[in-house]
Amino acid sequence: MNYLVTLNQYRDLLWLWTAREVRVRYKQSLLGLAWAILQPLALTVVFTLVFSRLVRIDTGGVPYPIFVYAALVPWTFFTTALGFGIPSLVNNMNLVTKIYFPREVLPLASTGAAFVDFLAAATVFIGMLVVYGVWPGVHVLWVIPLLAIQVVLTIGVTLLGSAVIVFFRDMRFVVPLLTQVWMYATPIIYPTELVPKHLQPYYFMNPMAGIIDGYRRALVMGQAPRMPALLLSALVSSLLLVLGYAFFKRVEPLFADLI
Amino acid sequence: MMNHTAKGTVEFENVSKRYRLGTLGTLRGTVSALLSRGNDELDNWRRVLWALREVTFRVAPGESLGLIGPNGAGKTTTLKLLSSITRPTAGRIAVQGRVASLIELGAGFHPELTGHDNIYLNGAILGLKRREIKRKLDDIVEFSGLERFIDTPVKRYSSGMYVRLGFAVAAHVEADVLLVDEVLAVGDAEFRRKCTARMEELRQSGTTLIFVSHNMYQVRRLCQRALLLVKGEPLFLGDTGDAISTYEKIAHSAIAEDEDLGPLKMGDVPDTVHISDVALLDRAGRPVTQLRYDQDLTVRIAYRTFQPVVNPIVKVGLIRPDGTACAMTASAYQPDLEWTLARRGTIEAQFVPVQLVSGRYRVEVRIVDSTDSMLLTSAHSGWFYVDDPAFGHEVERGVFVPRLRWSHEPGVAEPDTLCDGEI
Repeated sequence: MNYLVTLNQYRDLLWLWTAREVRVRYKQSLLGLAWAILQPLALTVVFTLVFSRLVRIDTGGVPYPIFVYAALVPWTFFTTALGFGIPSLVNNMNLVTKIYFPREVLPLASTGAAFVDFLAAATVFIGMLVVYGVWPGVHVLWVIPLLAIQVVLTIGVTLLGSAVIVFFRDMRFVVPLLTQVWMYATPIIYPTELVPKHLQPYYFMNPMAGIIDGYRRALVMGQAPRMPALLLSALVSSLLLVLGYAFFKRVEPLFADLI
Repeated sequence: MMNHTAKGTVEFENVSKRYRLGTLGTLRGTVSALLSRGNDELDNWRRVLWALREVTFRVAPGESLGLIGPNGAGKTTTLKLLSSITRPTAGRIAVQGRVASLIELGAGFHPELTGHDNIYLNGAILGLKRREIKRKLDDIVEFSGLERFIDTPVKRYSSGMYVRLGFAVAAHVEADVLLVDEVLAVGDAEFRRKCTARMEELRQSGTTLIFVSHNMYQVRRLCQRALLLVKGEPLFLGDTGDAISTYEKIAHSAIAEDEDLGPLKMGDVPDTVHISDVALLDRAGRPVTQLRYDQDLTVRIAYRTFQPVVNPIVKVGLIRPDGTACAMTASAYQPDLEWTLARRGTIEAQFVPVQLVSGRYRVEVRIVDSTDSMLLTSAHSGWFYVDDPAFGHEVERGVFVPRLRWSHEPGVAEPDTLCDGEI
């Protein structure tokens, strides 16, 4: 609890550091924030070509571009946050070794900056819904709890990862590999229905599975998320956040000595 | 923490800090280290360094403590412990109130962002709220003297401008305890003066100051007490002047042991002239290492030549440890001086009197040719100490002690001050 009080004292730093992350990332790039949209959009084009032209995946009648984009936008949010957040302590070693501030500000700001990208990519999704004439209905409100669970999970994983990478630098190479594998373990390019029934309980132990499946059902299928699955996601995510934060704060005093 | 201790109090009780020299940097290294006994990596990891050993001090609110000592003494580690960047291995540290550290100026500056944006960022890292930064923005910009460049990305700043902006932000953090590490070694003289004045101002307004510097003049100016650390061990804690002279005696003996920095340097242009000794003598011709500001100092230069040198110019400088030449004078200033240096001999230059403020100095001697265009040789003496009566009393101490004659005539509008020119 004490940690949260200190963190609250530094909320202005959190805000300013998030803004810095966002601005710095796009300051010298030609397309600016458009990159945030291009990344899921390009993958959507590729996956659409492969999985609705070459290999046919049954989406239950939903146009494949919407089907995959609805999953890619939150997934990109997740991987961007991890990609910037996990190395954030190591990348700012001159700060960590020279000045005290709650170190979690750095990984948290990465999640915040990735959220800005997420919002940009999400606006394109609204455009796609209009173009394809899909109306999700009242179930769209599920996005709010889905997003909340996802943010909890993202912060938990980022805190854990950013602390571990201080001790083991080779984690830097593990992270991209891990997220790639993780993507195939999550219903992004295929629907959950393709997973054999008897494997589904194990499948949904991956908290991202319940979340991404939930987004797709709420946004393009007009259905509520699968319930036991989403509750499991919420549970695992909260557990990861509590444990991740506790671990982070426990090893925090060692960062400056190790970095 | 005790509530009755006032804000700005700093307590360090038997604090020790141990660092492991090796780190377990990679997963592979760690796994192999843990699996095999006697592994190099694990042995390396087990090697330790005590950066601090049982250091104890207490600083009252508004007091200033200097941390001095050679490199690797544990000064910066002490500051890191005080700012809770790292934790002690043993002992207790208590700091009351808000701590601001000027350990790195411009921390978190991003080159792509403007000076203005970086002020906010840097201020927030130092623990300021956005509201506070906004309130102080004009002061900060004015202090930095960068009004014209404040909307320019800092990547276009010179290193001097960068540091000025960094100090300007740090100097406006309203802290109870201010930690300063060697930051004043940068920037031009004018800016350094401004920084020192600002720290003085903060201290007088009640901020506790912990100051690390290799510049003994700044330490003397800013600190009432000083702690001398050598290899993590506290050697002296007390009056700044005493701490500095203890340190200088240690440093001096260390220099004497080091042959490379011995009192003599070989001639730069061989086969012409070579200085074999620079001796410092008192009025009676006895060697001196310590004298009062009003005593005479004779510099006796022993030379050897390989061929006669006609009318060379001999230059003599009084240098203090930070490299500042407090005086530079040359034989050419004496118009009727004509000499030919041949074979061997001695040259004497007399300072009547030495007129320097308290401190440590040495004499540097250069011999150049008669047209002052080529350095023939140079050498310097050992260190010597000067005491002056104002020692330890005045903050603004200057460089030399002029001889003044004061007078007072009641009823006359303008005071009549005469400078005594006789030397």
